[in-house]
Amino acid sequence: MTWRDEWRRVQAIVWKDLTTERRSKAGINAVVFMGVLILLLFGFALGPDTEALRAAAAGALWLAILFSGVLAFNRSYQLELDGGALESLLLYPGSRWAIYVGKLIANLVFVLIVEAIVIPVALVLYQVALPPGWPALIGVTVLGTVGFVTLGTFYAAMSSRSRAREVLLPLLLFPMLIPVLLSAVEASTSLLGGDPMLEAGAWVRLLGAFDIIFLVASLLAFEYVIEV
Amino acid sequence: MFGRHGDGVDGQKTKTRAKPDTPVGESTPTQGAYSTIRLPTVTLRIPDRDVAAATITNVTRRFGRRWALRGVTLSIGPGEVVGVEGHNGSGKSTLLRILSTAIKPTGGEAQVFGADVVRQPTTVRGVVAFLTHYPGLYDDLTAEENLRFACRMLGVDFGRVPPVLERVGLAREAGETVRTFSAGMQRRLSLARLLLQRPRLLLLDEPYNNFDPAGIALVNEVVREVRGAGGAAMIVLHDRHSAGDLLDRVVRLKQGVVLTDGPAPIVGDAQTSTRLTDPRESTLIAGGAA
Repeated sequence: MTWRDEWRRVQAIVWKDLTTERRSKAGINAVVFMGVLILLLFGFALGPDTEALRAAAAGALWLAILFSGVLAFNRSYQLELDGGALESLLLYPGSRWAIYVGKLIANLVFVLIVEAIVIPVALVLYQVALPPGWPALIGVTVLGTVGFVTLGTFYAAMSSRSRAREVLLPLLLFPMLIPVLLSAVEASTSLLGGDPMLEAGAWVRLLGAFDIIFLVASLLAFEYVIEV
Repeated sequence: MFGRHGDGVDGQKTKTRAKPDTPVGESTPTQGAYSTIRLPTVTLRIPDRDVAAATITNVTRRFGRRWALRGVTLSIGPGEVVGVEGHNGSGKSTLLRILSTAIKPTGGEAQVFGADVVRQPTTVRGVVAFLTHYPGLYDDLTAEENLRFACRMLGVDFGRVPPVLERVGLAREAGETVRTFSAGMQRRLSLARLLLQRPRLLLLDEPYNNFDPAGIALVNEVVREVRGAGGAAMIVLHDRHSAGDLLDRVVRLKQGVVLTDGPAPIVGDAQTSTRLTDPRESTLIAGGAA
């Protein structure tokens, strides 16, 4: 198997996952609804104080993405488990990492689409104006999402064969996400406030480092977690 | 001199790998699947009769505290079709899943055309096709899309999809989502996916389930084709009559051990009933498995 063969397999999995999702639409509806609902609940909990809402906006947004994203990861492997497709997928000749990368890219596209809907809602609900450095904010969002999806796809594979996967996935995933969550929230909060202390850069570098570490570790370990 | 196939630039013979229209991973000399005989002007590819299609040596497999297989030793020759029988939980499906590389054995060794299922799984997956209990299809994709996905995963040209769909009788339903298919149609589509692969070892787990007589005939036809091409097949079955005269041997498992292994009796022969009530079976029932 050459790199070209493996890339062809990655593309096939991305196409299959996104086509399936586009046809059913059940996943995106549920995940977007969940994300917006969490933002609303946080808004009610924080009260009508505009300053408090603005200060908590980044944290609330990332928690909404995290909680709703877990639904997406579970669903990603549920598609394979229905009708025994996971075993068939694993029996195609080729490397297991291609399956992981395919799932990772499909989940990344899915979560980014969800974010494209949820982030504007958050900006309106929490009365946050876009700062001048908004492209950097998009960069932080993408980096944070990559870290989140990397771990989410990996742990969803690990828990996919468990009967209690809906419970197991958050238990495994959330503790590991703390560094990503912390870096993403701090960087986003700094950028939303105009980054007066120029501290966002340090958080972004940390976020990038976590992304690389998690990606490499997941690629190396995926073959073992997906084995029976 | 005129670019004769296999000649080196200086006219000396070079060891070249034959490029047959074969499935992925087939027929490298290191796999021992074929002997390449070089003649001055032609290359002959002859199935190597010395290399077993599958060799299973003292294989064990444990799920938790339960032993599904307890030291199974078998060999399947090229061109051989072996039926595997036994009660539920006797280890039939586990044996097939080990040969397909879906699961690893707890102990022992298994090879497919010389490739070890644990150490060379990718090579094994290139020559094995496994029809499982489950359809293994994506409900929201159409029949054609499911096969095109399989083509991309296997590295096979999309051009194979229409004739394969035609062969399994689903050409008219090619554009319909699998969600709308009956169990039998889904089974046909699973079989179609196997046909894309042109396998050398067919592993069929209760392949006749959900098939009408035409479907059963189709399964048997596919097995005969694989056998005719020097491949082999291992078929888990409860109803031997569906296989007709297809089987060369029948292996009977009981509680994870091989109870009997011998030539398949002619369908309707009195031996059928004799084999099913082998005295060793009653010994195992009375004394527990070894």
